[in-house]
Amino acid sequence: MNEGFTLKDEFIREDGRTYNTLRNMKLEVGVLNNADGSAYIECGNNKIIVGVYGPRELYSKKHSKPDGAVLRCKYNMAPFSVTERKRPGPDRRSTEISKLISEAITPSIFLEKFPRASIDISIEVLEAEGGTRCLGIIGASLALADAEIPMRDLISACAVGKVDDHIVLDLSEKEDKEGQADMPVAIMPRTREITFLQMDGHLTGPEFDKALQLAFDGCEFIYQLQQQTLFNKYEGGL
Amino acid sequence: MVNVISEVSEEKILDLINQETRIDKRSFEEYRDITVKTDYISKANGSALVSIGATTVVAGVKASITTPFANTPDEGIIITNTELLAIANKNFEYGPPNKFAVEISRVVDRCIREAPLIDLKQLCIVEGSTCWKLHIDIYLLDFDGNIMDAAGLAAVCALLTTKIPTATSINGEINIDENTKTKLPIKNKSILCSVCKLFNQLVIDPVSVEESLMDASISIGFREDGSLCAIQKCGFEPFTITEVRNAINIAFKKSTELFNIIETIDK
Repeated sequence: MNEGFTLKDEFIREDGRTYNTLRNMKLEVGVLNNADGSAYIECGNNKIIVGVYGPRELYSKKHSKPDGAVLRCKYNMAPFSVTERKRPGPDRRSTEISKLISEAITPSIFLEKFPRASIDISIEVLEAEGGTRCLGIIGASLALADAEIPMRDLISACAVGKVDDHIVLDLSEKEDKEGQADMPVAIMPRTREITFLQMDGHLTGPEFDKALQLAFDGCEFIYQLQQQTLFNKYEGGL
Repeated sequence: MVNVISEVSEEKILDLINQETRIDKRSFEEYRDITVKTDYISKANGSALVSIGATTVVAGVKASITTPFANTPDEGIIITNTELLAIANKNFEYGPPNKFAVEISRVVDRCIREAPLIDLKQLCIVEGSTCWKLHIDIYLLDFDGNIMDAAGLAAVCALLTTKIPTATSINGEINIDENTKTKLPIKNKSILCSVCKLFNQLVIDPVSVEESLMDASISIGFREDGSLCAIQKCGFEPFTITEVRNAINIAFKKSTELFNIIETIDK
């Protein structure tokens, strides 16, 4: 009999997953013809495509920087991606997410190698089912690697949350809406530093610590998937 | 919001950090003087003028009757908006809110909504057809760093002092009695506290020049019982796990001070 076995380990979520199971995930790189780098992600019913252009010259003097490239990130949701049609164009949510994703990615890139240039990332959400910002980060990092932009590490991300008083990994849309807390986390797995952290809902101190640990476990698993995706593309081709 | 800082002042601040002090002689975990003046705007349903040092923020709450959102037919509506006025800083421009203003609105909104500070169910008058809508407008008048805490404190203080007319529905007709005003249904008080990472040292309440030099910051929303209701990391540098834990501990300590301030206005 396993002594660490508690009722908590037996908690089965609405879609049949246990607390630490991710949804089925499919990662692909190099899916676009014209972009310098691209990635496609499916996770549950999420479908996200990411394109990277750059480094290329940034003509606007106002925005360019003499000591490094400017990372510009746009997170955009398609009108048909959610239950009720979303009005096209940027809104407050996507403005915030774009800002945070570019901040989450920045520490991993050697921006100083490309003065006065820009690197443009477009994250297009074709279908959303919870956790799009994390998948956006995963995809952006893969697309940057696909564009052969020098990087310190890939960025890996996943969401944790609290559903029916249990800390669970990778919330679905329903769990996100009905759950008690949602906490997306992105890390640089090699240095174990946190580059993105948000939380809404209600967590106590110990629950937060537990959630953060679970998020790290999830991120490290996704990191292996990301590496494998890049290996698969370049295997035998170099 | 690019602010050019001379190398001399950068070195000065680094030197001072190494001597465990700061340019205005505060310790790392010390707020500047905080003043709160509630019922500042008489035409608003609730308002608060908050200043943390030289950072001055005014928040006003306006209540109006509207139809609830289709996905929450039995709840009232709160909308938070932030305007960084051009008079506050040379880098701010008139126009629609930029990403910094949007982020502040969204984080303050999250802290209020997730606590939850207000029982939104009680703001519904007739399910599916009539409810109260509260517009929380945050105006930054003067800027000297740490807008997030000031905006959060102003919004919470304004909401705690908001009085709305009593509305009743008689045979499907909405009656609003402007003469009998009641306070909002408050559930859990909450507050935002930000910790920033400056030359690898965690400090709170940065002034403008420190904020321009900081690596990253983390804003944490606390309920009165000490549990967390919102977190947001901003800035381009990463945090380690230990730093996040330390930041939460510091913010928790300081949040009790902010709750004491709220206690004085909320009689």
